[in-house]
Amino acid sequence: MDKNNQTLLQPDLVNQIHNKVTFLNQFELAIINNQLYEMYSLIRENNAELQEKIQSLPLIVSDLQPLISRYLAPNLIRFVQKTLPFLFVEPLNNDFDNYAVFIGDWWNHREIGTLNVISSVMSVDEKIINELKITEQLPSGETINDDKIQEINKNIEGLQEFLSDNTKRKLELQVIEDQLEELKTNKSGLFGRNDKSTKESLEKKQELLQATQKRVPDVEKKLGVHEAELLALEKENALRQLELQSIVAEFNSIEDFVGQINRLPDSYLKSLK
Amino acid sequence: MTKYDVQEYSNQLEKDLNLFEQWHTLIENLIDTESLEVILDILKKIVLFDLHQSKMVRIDTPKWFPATHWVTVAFAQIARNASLNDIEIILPQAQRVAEIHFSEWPNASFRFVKAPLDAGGYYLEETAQELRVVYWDIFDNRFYLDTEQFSKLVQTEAIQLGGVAALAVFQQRLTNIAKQLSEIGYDSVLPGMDNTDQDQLLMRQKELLPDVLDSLFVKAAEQQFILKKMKSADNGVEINIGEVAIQLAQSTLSEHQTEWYYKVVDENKDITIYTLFQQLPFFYKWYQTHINVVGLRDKREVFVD
Repeated sequence: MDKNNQTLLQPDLVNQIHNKVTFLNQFELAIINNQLYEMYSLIRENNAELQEKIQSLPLIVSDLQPLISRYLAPNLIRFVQKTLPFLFVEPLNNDFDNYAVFIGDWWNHREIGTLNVISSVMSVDEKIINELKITEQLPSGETINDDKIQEINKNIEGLQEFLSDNTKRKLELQVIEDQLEELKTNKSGLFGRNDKSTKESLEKKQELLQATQKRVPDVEKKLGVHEAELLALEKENALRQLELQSIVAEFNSIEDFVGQINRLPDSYLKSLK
Repeated sequence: MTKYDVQEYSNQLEKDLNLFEQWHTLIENLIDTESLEVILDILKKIVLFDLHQSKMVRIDTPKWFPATHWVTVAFAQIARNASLNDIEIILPQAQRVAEIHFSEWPNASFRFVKAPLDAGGYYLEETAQELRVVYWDIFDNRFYLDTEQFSKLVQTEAIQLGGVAALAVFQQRLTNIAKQLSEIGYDSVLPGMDNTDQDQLLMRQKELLPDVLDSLFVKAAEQQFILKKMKSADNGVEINIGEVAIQLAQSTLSEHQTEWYYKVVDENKDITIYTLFQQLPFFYKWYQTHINVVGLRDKREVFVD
C-alpha cells in the first residue's frame, strides 16, 4: 500500500473510530443514567447484523456481553412476568444472555421457550405450542392422548386379569398335584386303563398351568411398563390442560398468546420509553 | 364310701364366695373410678383374674365375659373421661363383648379384639368393617395408632356421615387418651392424630421416586387441584386447598440421608392429615396406591392381619 492510498483511507478510519467513541460515550451515559430504552436503541442501531432478532452486542462491547446481559436482565424479566404472569423465567447455567421460560409454577412445569436478554426475543417450543393449539380445538374433556390411553388401559386390564387369575391357577395346580400324588400312592404304579388316561390328562393340565405360571414375571414387568407409559401420557394431559387454562385465562386463544410473545421486543421497548 | 366332711365343704364354699366377692369389688371399682391409673390397675387384675379357681360355685350364664369385653369397658371409661362428648356401652344380643358407641359417630360401633401377637395386647376395631384403630398393650404400656386402617376407616360411610367436626372430636378424644397414658409411662404413638402436631409426619420410605409425585400431580389435576413446587424448601411440593395446604417435603438427616414427610399447613390448627384423607378422595386414593412408600410411619410391627 503506498502512502497516497494510506492518506485516502484515513478520513474513513477516523470516521469509524469516531462512531465507536460516540457509541461508547452514549452507551456509557445510558448506563450511568439507567436509560434502558437508549441502551436497547443503541444496541439495535449499532449492530453490524441489524437483524430483527439481534442476539449479540456490537463488536466493540461484545467482550462485555455477560456484564451487560446481567445488567439488562432484571428489568426485562420483571416486564415478562408482569405482562405474562403465568410464565416463570429462570437462569440457565453459565448463560447470561438466555433465560429458560417455564409455563406455570406447578410440579414439573414445562419449559416453553427461551428469553434472550439482548434482543428481548422469546423463542417458543413449536411442538408445545402446536399441541396446545390442537388441545384448544378439542371438545371439553377430550385430550390428544385419548386413543393411546384407551389402548394402554385395555392392555393393562388384560394383564391385570391374567395376574388376578394367579391365585386360582395356584390352587388348581395344588389340586392336580394332590390328585396325581393320590393316584401314585393308591395304585403303587399299577394303573388301570382309566387311571392312566386320568393321569395323562392331569399331567397335561399341570404342564399347561405351569407354562402359564412361568409367564407371570414377564406379565408383571409388562404391566409395570404399561403403567409407566400411562402415567407419562396422563401427566402430559394434565400439564397441557393446566397450560391451556393459564393461557386462556389471559388471552382469547393460543394464537393471541403467541402473537403477544412475538411482539415482546417491541412492546418491551415501548414500555421503556 | 368316702367320709363326708361338712366343715371342708363349708370352707370351700367360703373360699369361692371370697373369690366372687373379690371379682365383685373389681367390677364395682372399675365403674366407680375416674382415675386412669386405677382403671388400668383394675383392668390388669380383671384380665388376670381366673374365676375358674372356684371349686364349688360354677356360673355358666350369658353374662360370662371374656377379657376383651372388660378391656372394652375399661377403655370406654377412659374415653368418656377424655372428652366432653359422651359414649355409650352397648351389649348386642347374644354377644359376649360390649361395643362402644362414640356420640360423635353414632353410626359406628367399636370393640376390642385380641391381637394375634406373642406379646399379647388388643386392637380397638370398628365392628362393621373390622378396621383397626389402635393397638393397646396394658401390660407393656403401649398404645399405637394403626395409621393405615384408620385412614381407611375415615372413608367409610358411617364415619363420613359425621363429617369433619365429628372426626375432629374423635381425634381429640384419642389424642387426650394418648397424652394421659404417656404421662404415666406409656409409649404412645399416634402419627397424624394430633391437630397441633402436623408439621413433620414421616413417610415409611426415605426415598420418593419422581413417579410417585407425578402420580399425585395427575390425580390432583383431575380434580382441579395443583401440585406445586414448594417455594420454602429446596425439595418439596404442596397442594393448596383453600386456606390450608398439604406439603410433602424432604428433610436432611445427615450428609447422605434424607427423609420425606408431610406437613399440614393450617393456621387455625383445626385439621389433620386424616381430615384431608376424608375430604380429598384423590389424595386418599393416591396415598393408598403408594402406601408402602408414602404411608405414615407407625408401629407397623404390632399390626398383624
